[in-house]
Amino acid sequence: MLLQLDDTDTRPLYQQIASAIRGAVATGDLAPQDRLPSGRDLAESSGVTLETVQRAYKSLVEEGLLVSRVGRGTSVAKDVDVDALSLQAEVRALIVRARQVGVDLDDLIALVRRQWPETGATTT
Amino acid sequence: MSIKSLVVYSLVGAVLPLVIGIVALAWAWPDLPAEVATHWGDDGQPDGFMTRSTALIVWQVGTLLGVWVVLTAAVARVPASAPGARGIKAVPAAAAWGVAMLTMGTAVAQRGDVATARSLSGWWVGWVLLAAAVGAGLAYALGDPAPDMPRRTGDPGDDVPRLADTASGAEWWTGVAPAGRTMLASAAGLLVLSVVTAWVVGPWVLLLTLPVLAVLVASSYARVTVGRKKVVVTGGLFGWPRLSVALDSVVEALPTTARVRQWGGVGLRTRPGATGIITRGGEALELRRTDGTTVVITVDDADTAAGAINSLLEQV
Repeated sequence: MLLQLDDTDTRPLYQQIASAIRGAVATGDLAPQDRLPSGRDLAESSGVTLETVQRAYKSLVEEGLLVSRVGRGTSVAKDVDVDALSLQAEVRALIVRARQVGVDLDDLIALVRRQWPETGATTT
Repeated sequence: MSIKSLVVYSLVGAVLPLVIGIVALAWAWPDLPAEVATHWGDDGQPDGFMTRSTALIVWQVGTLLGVWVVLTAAVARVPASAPGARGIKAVPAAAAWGVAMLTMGTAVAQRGDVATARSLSGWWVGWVLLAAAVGAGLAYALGDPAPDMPRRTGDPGDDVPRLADTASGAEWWTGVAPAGRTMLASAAGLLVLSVVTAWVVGPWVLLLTLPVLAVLVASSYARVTVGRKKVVVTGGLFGWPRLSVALDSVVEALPTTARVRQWGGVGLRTRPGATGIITRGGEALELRRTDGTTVVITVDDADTAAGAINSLLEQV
């Protein structure tokens, strides 16, 4: 399993780590019920503090993406919605791209509205 | 092994237990019969005897020093930079301290009349293990720390794998190497053996077999985590053992194939100039280090692991 951080990301490190794990689940790199390395392993291997890693894990446990059990470590939840997560990741990438080319939120939404019927989807 | 560390290991691993053992024998000496029992038959009756001075030489000098010399010769070639080297080098001291305790126990049990000389109760194994733990702890504490490694200069070679998409960069790679057939068969065999011997000989046998089983379980599974600073390998027994290699000391990484036979078994293995963390035969990660030694770690998807390490080496 490969975890990647985005160099342009300015959010706190624990949120970036959480995002990387979310990304790995979205791409299928991490499957439901797969175990994650212990917080200690992740921290020691990278020089990030253990608190930061634990904070990232904790936020994902609260989100329902990960489950933490004593003696078994942390693993991806059984019932995690991989489709929703991968869609979320793609939307995120789309937003980043839109901002790079100077398209703001309203323009992007307008663009999505215009494209929506063209793919054959119905609007309400 | 340098002369200085050999002196330290000799003092802690051989001289100290030898002195303690001889002092204990000297204390028991007046009460010892001229001939002491050294072997017991199946019925628990002594059937082998030695004069007490021969026994002193055979037990202390022969057994203790013999065990220590053989084990020291075996671990001496382990490079001090190898992951786990400090622990491996504490093994001869553990064995010597265990032998010393066994000797003392036998001597103490001999005081009085030779006819009533008893073999040691099996539960004495507990004291022997405790002594071994003390010896190992001392040798570990006073032993060689990992040496400073030459710093890496330049990037990994052109022929080693890298991540295909390095645009966003790797931060961590993590993978596992589950137990192979050799490991599972040994563990299953030992479990059956320990239950049977415990049934036949006595439950104290478990004191001997359970630690061995624990070590087997601990080395049956490895999780490898790669980050910007270190490659961390943790074992299957609640994260023990825990070994690491600093990326600063790694020149490059490449995927390879490990064979159990080539490494002489599974677990933490050494060969001249190389250390192996082997849980099974098959895919493995080879780390070439700046001091010319290599570390081989069995892991699934070694190609990506090596790619991630080489890409990280280029980034930092």
